Amino acid sequence: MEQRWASFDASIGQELFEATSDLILVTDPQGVILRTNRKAGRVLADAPTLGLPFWVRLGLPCDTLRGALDVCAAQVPRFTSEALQAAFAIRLVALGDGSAPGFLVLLSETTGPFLQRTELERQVKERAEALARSQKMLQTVFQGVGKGIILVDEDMEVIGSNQKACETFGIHPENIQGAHIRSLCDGPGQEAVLGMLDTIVENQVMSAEVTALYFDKSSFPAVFTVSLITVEGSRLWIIITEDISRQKEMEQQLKTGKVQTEEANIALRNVLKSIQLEQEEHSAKLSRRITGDLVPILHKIRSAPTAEVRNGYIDFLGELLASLTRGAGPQMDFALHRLSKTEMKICNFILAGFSTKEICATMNLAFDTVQTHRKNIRRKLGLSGSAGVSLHGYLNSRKVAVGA
Amino acid sequence: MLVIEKMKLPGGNSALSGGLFAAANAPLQAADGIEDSPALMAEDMFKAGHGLNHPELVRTVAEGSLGAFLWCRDDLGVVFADSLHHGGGHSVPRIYSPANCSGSVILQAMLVKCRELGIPIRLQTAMKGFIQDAGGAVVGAEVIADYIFPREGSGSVRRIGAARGVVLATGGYCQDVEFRKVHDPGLGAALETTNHPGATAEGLVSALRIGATPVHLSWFQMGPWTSRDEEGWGVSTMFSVLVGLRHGVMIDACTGRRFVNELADRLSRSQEMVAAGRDPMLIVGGVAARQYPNLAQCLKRGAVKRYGTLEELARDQAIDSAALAATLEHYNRSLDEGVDEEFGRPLGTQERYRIEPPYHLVRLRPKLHYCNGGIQIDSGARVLDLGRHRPIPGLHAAGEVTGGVHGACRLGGVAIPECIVFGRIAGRNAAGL
Repeated sequence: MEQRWASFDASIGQELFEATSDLILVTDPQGVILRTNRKAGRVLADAPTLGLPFWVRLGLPCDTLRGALDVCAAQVPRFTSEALQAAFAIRLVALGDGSAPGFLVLLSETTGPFLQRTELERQVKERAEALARSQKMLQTVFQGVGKGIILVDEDMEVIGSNQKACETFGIHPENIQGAHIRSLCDGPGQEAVLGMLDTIVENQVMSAEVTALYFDKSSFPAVFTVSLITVEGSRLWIIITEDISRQKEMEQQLKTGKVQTEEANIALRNVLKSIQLEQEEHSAKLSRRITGDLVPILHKIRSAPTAEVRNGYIDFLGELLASLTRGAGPQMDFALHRLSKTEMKICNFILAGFSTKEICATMNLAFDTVQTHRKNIRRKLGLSGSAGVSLHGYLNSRKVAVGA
Repeated sequence: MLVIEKMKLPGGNSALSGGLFAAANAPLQAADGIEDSPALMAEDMFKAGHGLNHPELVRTVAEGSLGAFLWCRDDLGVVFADSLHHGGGHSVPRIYSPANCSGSVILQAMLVKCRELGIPIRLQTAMKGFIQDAGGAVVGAEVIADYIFPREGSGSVRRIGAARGVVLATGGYCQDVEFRKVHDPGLGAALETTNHPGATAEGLVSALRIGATPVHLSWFQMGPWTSRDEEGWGVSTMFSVLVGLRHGVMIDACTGRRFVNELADRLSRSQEMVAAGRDPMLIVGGVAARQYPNLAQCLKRGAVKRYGTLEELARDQAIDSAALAATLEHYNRSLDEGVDEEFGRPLGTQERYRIEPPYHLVRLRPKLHYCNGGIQIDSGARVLDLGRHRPIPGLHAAGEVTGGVHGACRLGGVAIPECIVFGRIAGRNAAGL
């Protein structure tokens, strides 16, 4: 039985002898190396090992076994293999009890784990830095983007937001966190937003125009654009919010401007129509006078019996001709036709009561340009120098006069 | 009337706070049979303030607290919870808490009122200095319009004239590292604070420049209930304030034992918590924890941790489990007996909750919370001149920018009454009503 245990122990010993990561040298009582395990054989292969005292082979600072025992008792000496760039801690174990049949010299590698740890630390540091950089970049984008971003979890609670979202709703970051998404819009808005969160699937983007609420409970038009992602099995909604009050205001202004322009167009068309009518009337009148007054006189001149009578008719004809051009028809009718297309447009706006500034904005012209046009219009209408007459008043009175 | 606000968001620290509101002779006290008076509240304030408080200011706040509360509840329409909180350092339960446990509702109600009254609030308009007439009276303010905090040089300078007066309500300076270090070099940049980023000193400094009197500028308050697992004020603070410290125990994780009366004033608690080698944690039982309406949020964000057994908690936080079990057993026995012999904590007349599973834990770290000091005012909220001890004509102040009300330590729930009491006095006096 005892023998069985002994052989069992021996086989365990042999297993350990080869399986351990340590280098093992077995010496005789004088410290001369008798055998090594395979690992030691490989590491020490660069020089003879067997038959040498271990302190000589390992380069310990001593010349005798006693000295080697003292060195190992006082500290843990090191052995360095330059070929492998590895360092080993040396421990000495006496075999048997008292009358030592020899020694086990154990060499444990210290560099491997150390190097591995250093390498691991370097990798961790590098990755942590890369993570920090990408986080910083992400954070910069998150905060710097011009629109509000709100993250909502499955409880419909805000779990994160950027500064812009806080400003849009007037709520401090600490207070918007944990707020229910409902609290950010009015009744119909809540329905619209919750409806989107409910129906949206991944890779889809939905958006709705809602009436949102500011911290002081005043309302403003906003667009909520929703998308969905799944993080660690939980759904997370990303809501991009945008206050569109300014946009709405501009749309309204444009609409009003368009209506005003259309009205002004109609007015100007009427003016031109009246002018045309008047012109036609004037031509008719002229033709009537030519056929009624001038032609008969020409006949009379032709059939005049004496030079005196003929001269009398000629004088009369002269007067009649002069009367045709005197005060016949408004000057503006002709003057208006001298205006350029742009000047006409500007007259249009002036007639509709637009200020120069407003005309600039509407026609996308510089203030000075519009001023020059106004000056030219005044010149063409014969108003230069008559500072007391406003262009608007003049155009208006013409319109009324012509209309009447 | 015009309100100017430096930041892009209105409300400052008050909007972040828990909105606790102490009121002496509060309506709920009568219903609960609690005897209280402004004199008792003032006494509590003096005791916490180590007697450094200016008596007439303390009396003004204590006497005005009920009126201020009723104004908030009835005129502004703020909804408060229907039970009173017994805050640390108060001798009786006298603190109301907004139903959502946040001061934001009080601020919101004020902003709604401003909108209804047509009072403009100009955001991103920073205080630059006061405009004085030849006699030294404040007749307006120089401000920076379109200011982008904290960018120096942003915006443009404007002058705003004040027909009747200026009320300075620019708050404290917990975020002003340079200014706070002047008064307490220990309060360096590494120290965390509960305050919003704009809590800086320029309003206060503007008043000092024209000769206002500084009071107690080196007295700061650390909040003994903030979490180390959250930034700033966080979501767990009101859990710790309202139920944690009320119904749980604060232990030192290094020993597993209690070390302070959890309901002492904030100064005493903070000092004990930061004593060398301590690692303060708060443990509260399941039934009490559920009293806090926003518990789910605290758990979700990991600021409050929940454990099924004490062993689990002890293992996770590396606390000696035998010592911890003994501490809780001893505390639960004290609850049954109605006396805390160890630390003299008032166990109160209200319902007591034993610390039983599931256990809720908050890892605490005191953070810089409040500036007790500021500029000196009289009971009419008039700012007093340093040399002459007389009011600076045209200038009033209210809130954390003023000093002297709290002395060495402000009691919880007194800041908002102070703001409203002196804010209303300042408004009335500035308008000459």
